[in-house]
Amino acid sequence: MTLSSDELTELYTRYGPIALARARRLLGDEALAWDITHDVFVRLSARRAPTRQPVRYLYRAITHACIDAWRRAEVRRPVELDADLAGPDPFAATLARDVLRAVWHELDETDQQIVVLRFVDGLPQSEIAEILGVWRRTVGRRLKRIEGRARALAEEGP
Amino acid sequence: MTPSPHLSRFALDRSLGGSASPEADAHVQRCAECRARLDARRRTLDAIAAEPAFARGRARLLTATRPPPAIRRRWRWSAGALAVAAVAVVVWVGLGGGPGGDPGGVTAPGRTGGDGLRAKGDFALSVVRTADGRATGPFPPGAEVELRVGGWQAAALVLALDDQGGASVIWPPGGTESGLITADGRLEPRFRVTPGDLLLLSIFSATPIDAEAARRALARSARGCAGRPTPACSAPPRQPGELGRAWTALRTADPR
Repeated sequence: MTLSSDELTELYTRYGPIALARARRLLGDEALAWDITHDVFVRLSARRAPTRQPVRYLYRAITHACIDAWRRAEVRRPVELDADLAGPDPFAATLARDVLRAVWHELDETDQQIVVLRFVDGLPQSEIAEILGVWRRTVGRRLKRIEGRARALAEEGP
Repeated sequence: MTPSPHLSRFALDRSLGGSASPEADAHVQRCAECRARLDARRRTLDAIAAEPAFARGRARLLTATRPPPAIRRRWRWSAGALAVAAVAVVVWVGLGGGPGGDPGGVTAPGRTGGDGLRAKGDFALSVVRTADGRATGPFPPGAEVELRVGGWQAAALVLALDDQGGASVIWPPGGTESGLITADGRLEPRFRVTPGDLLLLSIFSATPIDAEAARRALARSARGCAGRPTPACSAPPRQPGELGRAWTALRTADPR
């Protein structure tokens, strides 16, 4: 283990609430949120070199773990748009949510992370790129493809 | 979705985590709404930290991560890729001035690249022991080292060539294209020194460079080496988008 007990205690005390709040928000499942936070910190403690950007690491790791939980159907909660992101047009928000649900299972892990960070967290492309450690243009390219697919599904209708 | 003029939750969390960007700090200073959201977020996180379950979670974590009895582990790159060690570190810095670049040359001045990005000095690649900051070997097996790049603010791709001419991508670990460099030029994660001679090549760019194509090019070029690969005999052709390159050679310290 790279981190000493004191270092890990300090890390958990400082960043644990951020991780847990994120897991709770994404999962809506209290017990699973605790488990996922625990697992993420266990992995963090096993890193040979501590990360210099713990918040960025935790956002990526918690998002990954929540998507994994959704995939394993531990949580039935669908991907939802954040309420404060619904904007002035509820119809558009509802449409976006329904369409994104429809394409969710067609997406690979990276696309799913991008969808969560963009449409659930409402993050700008620059912050998504920073969290995932990819190029901003890669995020833009993938978002364009996802939105194109979602738009095509919407035009096809039910 | 219209971009919000206010800080995202991620930016707020980063601010509370002590790693806010200067731009975020400046925004909070002038935006009353973001100050209020920051305060609300702080209260939320403080409330979580005060939950009895949080203390139990911390105890559970410490129990789960208690180190097992000492075991002998094989030295390996923590990135899961390559063995590295050094008797001596020799750094060749070359600017990719043509096919194959100038691997044996002296340091060359930086350049201005695309996207309005500028080189800060000479293109450079070095391996630094984290324990004492030494940038020259020999490093004993097991030493923790860190790759550092200099001279370019955008992106780099680091490849490794072993004695048998095997080429690998070592940074970004598992990456399919070059990765963005942080301002301090330190490439995460750090690595453990293990036996085996190695030649490292960093290719700098302002646009993504295909990692697999660069790896294959390096392996192909290394086939032309008569003996142990050197930058002179193994330099791959200039890669699309490449603005410069730097080499570092490492040799394994004798563990005896």
